[in-house]
Amino acid sequence: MTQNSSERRLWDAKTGEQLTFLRTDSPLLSLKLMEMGLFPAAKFQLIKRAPLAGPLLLELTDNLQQLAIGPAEAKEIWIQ
Amino acid sequence: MDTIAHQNLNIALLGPPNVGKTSLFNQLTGLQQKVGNFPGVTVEKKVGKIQLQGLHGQLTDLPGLYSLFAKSPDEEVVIKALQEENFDALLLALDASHLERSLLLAQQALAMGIPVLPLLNMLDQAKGQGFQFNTLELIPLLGQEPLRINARQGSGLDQIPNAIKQLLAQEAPSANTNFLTLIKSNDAAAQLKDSQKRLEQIRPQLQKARKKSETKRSWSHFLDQWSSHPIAGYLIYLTVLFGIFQLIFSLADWPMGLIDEGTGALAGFIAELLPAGPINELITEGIIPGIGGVVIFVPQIAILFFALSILEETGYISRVVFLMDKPMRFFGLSGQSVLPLLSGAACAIPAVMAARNISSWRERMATIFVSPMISCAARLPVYVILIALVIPDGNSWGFGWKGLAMLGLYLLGVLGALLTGLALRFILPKKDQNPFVIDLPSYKWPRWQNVFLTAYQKSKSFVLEAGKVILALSILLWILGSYGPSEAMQAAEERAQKMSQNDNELAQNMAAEKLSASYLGHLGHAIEPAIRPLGYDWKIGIGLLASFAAREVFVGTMGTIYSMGSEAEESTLIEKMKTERFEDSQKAVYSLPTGISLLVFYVFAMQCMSTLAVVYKETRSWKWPLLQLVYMTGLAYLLAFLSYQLLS
Repeated sequence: MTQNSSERRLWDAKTGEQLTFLRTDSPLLSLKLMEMGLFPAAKFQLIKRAPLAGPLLLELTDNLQQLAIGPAEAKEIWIQ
Repeated sequence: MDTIAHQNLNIALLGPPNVGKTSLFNQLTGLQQKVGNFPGVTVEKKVGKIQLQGLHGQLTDLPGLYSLFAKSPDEEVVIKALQEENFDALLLALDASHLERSLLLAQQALAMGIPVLPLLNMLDQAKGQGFQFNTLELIPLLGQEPLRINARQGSGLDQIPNAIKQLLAQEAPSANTNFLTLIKSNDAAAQLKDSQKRLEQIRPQLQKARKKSETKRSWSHFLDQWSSHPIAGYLIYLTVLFGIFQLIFSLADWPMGLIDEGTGALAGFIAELLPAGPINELITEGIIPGIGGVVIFVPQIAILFFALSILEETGYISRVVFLMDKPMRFFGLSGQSVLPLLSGAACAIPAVMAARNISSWRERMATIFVSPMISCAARLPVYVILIALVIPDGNSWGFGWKGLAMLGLYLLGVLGALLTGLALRFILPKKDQNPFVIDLPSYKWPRWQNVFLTAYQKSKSFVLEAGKVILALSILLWILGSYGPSEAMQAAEERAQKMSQNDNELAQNMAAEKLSASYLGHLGHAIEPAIRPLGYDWKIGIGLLASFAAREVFVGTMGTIYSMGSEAEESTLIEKMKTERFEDSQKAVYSLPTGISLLVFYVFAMQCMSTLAVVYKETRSWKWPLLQLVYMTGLAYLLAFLSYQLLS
């Protein structure tokens, strides 16, 4: 899959950034995110990072749903 | 369809977590519900009776899940139940505030070949998000218009019986065999493809069914700024925990005292009522204290689960998981382990039971395994008496040595629990491949009926399930402590009579001599060679064996052994223990090395059969409590040995 220059991993995003979910490196994680309500092309904001390099907290723009995502998972998620 | 067909219906309630399923289940079944486990596993199964407008049967509340593609053992249980329990119909709770993902689950449920009645809940929350619905547009996705309900307020539920009757009057849907194969396949790529295909159907239809206006931020978002804040979040969490422990200690103290006095009074009453003899003693010294030993934990369990249920109902627990997950994960535990572990400071029993809320099998088992290492309230009397015996008065930098010793014992337990968790991280297999993605639901006011029912059901399940094992072991320990070889018991009686000047002395000496001559006493003598390297004599050995029933029994047993009576004043007992000497070397038994060794032993040893019984109940296997018993006792022995040998 070709990568756009603005594509990054979620782990590298800054708190407060508005982001768009693109894809993940693992089908299992993609499936889990879809089941939890984070669909491809969904817009969200990275609102918090737990201390000690812990989970990330996202807020979906559509319905203000909040999802916490583990550090290992955040490194497998591609965003724009 | 005739009325008879609406009797004995077997209905299941399915839906994602935080959709209001518990409220719906409680509204439909009232208090007519039973809590157990799905066969062979520890996943909670709630079954209730429904009697609504000519519709009779049972309703099973299935654990909440987001998808029928199981990723954890708990989710596998739901799939198995859907395939094997022959449900006549499924009540499917849909979350209107997260409808897209709910419809994905709905599509999967419809493929199972069971008639599905969709119920659209959380409409008030969806309204706050600016969503409005035309539910007729959902028919192409659900096969029928979903019923609009409010499970918390109970509105719209009166439509359910007729809707079920209509559903059952129709031809049963056929199962999608490809989907059933896919469920079993564990092929994430194929499952993803299937979900993407369903999503392609859902999205355009949902656009017709749902209109969106401006989203309003609720008070929940305001609270979230603080409750998951990197600094304030921890302070709030500490305050909440402190509040819970204050509740447990202050509120449980009074009913526990009452239960203790009540069982004592009942035993006294029955002792006078029945003719003296073995039956009288069995009932008053074995069975009644055994039952009392079970019931006495109920106030703590009820209060803890009352508080936990409030945290769960409000949605606060997931914020705690977000904050605590990373530091706990290093030690093989999870953010969800914090509350059970801290509950262990009151009592390991509710701590082990609270571990049920941990979704990952490995982390739940690790939490159950290490919880009893946190110093519980029952260790306190043992710590107090041993510290008073061997730690001198004095202070350093304003801190008293005795207080520091007490703090050290608590920290030692925490350290042991964390290091054991770290070791288990490398030993226990990871049974589930569930990625860490958790939903932080909006804050809600708790529904009090749910809170009280949870506290009641947890207490009941403890008394009925763990209680049987505790009672049986209490009776066994009583028999071992009350009976012995007849010649030895006869000799003990004669010795006691010779030693005593009056009735009071006779009673105390008789109890001490008989305990020494009992099977338990013989066991104490038998284990002396094994415990001597730890600095203990046979009398301490009896104390260790007797306190297997519960740690605090050690103090009472020491009172009996030293002929003080079990109600001995602590200060008198301490004086008596200070003068105690080894029979061979005539050295003081309770020296600093022995005292420290004994304290270390009590920090780690699994001296609580009630906890073992609860671990058995929670894991559905004797493997875990036996492993715990062997590991903790082995560790206690090793560390007590090292302490004694290094200090002597």
